[in-house]
Amino acid sequence: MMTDARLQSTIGYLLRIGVYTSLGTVALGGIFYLIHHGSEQAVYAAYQPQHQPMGAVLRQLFANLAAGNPEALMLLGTMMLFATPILRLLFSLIGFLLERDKLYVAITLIVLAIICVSIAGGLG
Amino acid sequence: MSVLVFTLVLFLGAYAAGLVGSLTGLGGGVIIIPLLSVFLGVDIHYAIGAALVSVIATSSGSAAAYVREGITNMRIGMFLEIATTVGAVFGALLATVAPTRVIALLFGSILIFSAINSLRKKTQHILQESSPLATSLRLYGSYPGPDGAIHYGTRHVIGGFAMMIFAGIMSGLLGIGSGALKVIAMDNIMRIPFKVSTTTSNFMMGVTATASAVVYLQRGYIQPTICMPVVVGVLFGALTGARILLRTPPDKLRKFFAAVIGFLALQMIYNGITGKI
Repeated sequence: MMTDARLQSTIGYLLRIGVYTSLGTVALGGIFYLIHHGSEQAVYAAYQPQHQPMGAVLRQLFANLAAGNPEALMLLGTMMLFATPILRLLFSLIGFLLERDKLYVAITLIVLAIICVSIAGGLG
Repeated sequence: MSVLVFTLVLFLGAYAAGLVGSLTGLGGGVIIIPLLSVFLGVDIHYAIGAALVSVIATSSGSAAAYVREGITNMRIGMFLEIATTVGAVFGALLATVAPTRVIALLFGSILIFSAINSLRKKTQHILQESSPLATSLRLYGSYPGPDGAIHYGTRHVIGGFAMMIFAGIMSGLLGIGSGALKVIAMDNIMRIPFKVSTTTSNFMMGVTATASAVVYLQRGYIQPTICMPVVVGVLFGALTGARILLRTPPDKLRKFFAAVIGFLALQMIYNGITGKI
């Protein structure tokens, strides 16, 4: 099927751009981070259970980015990486819509709904 | 250890993990977690977070190539993603309450299982007819073979779906791609041809891992300073691996890697039992 092949190559292209953009952002943040903190001691405390809702995570991220915090840049790159598979789902949805494949439009919507549940904190 | 040394050690480890992982088909996460938790003394929760981020990176990076070749079956992938994402959200929530030693023991066991599974001889089977349920869900397809398109069908949809829920839970709980479990669901249960199941499983890992990664993010598992060298290292390693693959005999390498993983697994299990993790 022509539409299928075109859809697949668009998705492949999209995934690659997403990965390289986020990789670049993470690496850039990493370079700044190492310049400023490279000589400090690497200490990672034991994990403390916490729950920060997505809205708060994003607000803090943008506040730290505005303050020029290199760790925030690395986090931004990491979160862009999370966005690539979600974008891929949206593109698949458009593709199935164009093919008028109702069954797979519904299936893709279910997967997107599950992702939304986890963005909302996973019913926890 | 200074931040610079820590970052370099982690980068080299992640590079090796990505390289060998792409050569043998086992994901890089299985090496990242023991490296961080056993050898660098980082809390296993942060190790799981970083490994899961690397799973998304390798999945999106390599799926890009396979999708273009037309081997990945997007319908099978999408349908089974319902199972893996539900499992992944549950797994991620379980990880927040599961005791560390339980995670370590479980991880060690899955590791040993994956190592043994990677040595198993793969037999290619192609079903001509799909089961009625698989037909109504359109879980069939074709992929380019040496003499034109090879058509295949599938069967045992419910069994495969159930196995995928389990694979998703393990992925969310342990921060791994669960490639070995996914291939069992697709190869052994649903009889999807090996080439299709491997690439489709890789393709699915990104969405599955994202379902648990956003939960991890809100629970504070994602440490950007640890994720940074891991993501960059694993991706470069995987890219190098994809180039070497054409020349190296993967059989010897696979045995060597299985032995390395077996050793790491025993180390994790030992630390889990003695409570050192």
